[in-house]
Amino acid sequence: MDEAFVKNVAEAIALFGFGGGILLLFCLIAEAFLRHREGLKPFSRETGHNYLFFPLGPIMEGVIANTLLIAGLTALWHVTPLRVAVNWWTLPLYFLVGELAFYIFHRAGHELRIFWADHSIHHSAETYDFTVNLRHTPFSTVYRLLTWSPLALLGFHPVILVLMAINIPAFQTFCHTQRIGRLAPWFEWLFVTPSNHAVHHACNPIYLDKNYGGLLMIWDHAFGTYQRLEDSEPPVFGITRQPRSSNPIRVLTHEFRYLAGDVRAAPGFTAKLKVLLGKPGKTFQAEHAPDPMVIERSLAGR
Amino acid sequence: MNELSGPAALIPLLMLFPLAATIRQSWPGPARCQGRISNMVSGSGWLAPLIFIVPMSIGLMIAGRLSPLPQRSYAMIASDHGPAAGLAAAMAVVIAEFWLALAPAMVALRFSDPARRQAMRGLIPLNLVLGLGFLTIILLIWR
Repeated sequence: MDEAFVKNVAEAIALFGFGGGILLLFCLIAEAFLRHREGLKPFSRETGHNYLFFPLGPIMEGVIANTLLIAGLTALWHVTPLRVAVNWWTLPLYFLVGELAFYIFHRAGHELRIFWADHSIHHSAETYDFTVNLRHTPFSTVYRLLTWSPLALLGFHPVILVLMAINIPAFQTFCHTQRIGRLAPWFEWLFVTPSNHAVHHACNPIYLDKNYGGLLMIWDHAFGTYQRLEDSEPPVFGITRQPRSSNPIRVLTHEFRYLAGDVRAAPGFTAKLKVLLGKPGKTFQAEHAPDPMVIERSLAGR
Repeated sequence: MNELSGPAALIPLLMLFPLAATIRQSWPGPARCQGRISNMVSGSGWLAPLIFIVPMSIGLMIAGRLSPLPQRSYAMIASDHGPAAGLAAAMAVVIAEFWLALAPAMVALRFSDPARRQAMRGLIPLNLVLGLGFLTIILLIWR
């Protein structure tokens, strides 16, 4: 393994991330500007939450969590005799595997309740604009580590894998907007776009648990989770059990509180485990007193 | 010295297509260009590599490895990697500058909801101010 090449690739992906960060900053300024031009408040309660949750990403993830993630994956990588070389010819493979890693992590965030409790924080925004990118969640590194461990055990270099699976799918940052309509059909098929990522953020029954891709939609096509935005079904943004509180702590802990209540009430160890690892909306649910700050939408449990 | 050689030396030539596609997207009324040749040379398919080229070029500018001035970027890269790489870098800088200062506003305007288009016209001066402001800061830092 050429360590100098690995270092160069890691540096290149970090530079890519910085460049993307500048473009995101421009998008955020444009968002506030356009809201003002449209007669809206540049900053709403929800955009306030989005900005407030931002440090959970670059500060907690970038400084601490990603280091722990790479350390954990490296420990596993040292255990396995398998190695996938890092060189010019294997970078496309790393790119595709990075996309797959993002897909698996993202799907786990939606389809296992214990992870959905965390990931739902990003999805509980009822607006769909550039500030939603800032709405980071505290525990995503935990399920990144769990879902990417098999790839490290297959011999994929942890640093390149993590950078490919985090930085490049960050392209979808530029897709959180309703201001751009549908693009060319081939582009919509192949890439994450504002319209097919709008599907991902919508809680209409036909759009639930669809379009997990980071930069490409290929893994959604491969695993049957692709859904185009239908003209007949305008997206409703948010989650099916929607928190409306202005208290950011309640927004952060919203699904965790329901999860804890359901685990506590589930009869027996197996039932509790099924609540934790079951699909949101499909697991045992305790009786919850109606909460005026929570809107129950079409499907219970999400 | 690690010069581009063999098929890699054709990269500057290939970069002409994303550059043409970028100029087309930055120009008002590209719907008028619907000929087969113009679609082949400047079609939206050529924008796909920009997902990598643009953020990378901006990152390299921040790190001082590329200059916002294309001729300076050419000199910086050509001295280590040869004229073909220098030319590719200079073209990447021009493309990135279009995407920093003008193209996003033009694309957003083109694909926007007609009901919102009036509000979105203000994006063009905003994009110019942000993009040119950023490039000026980079120039001042790394002069």
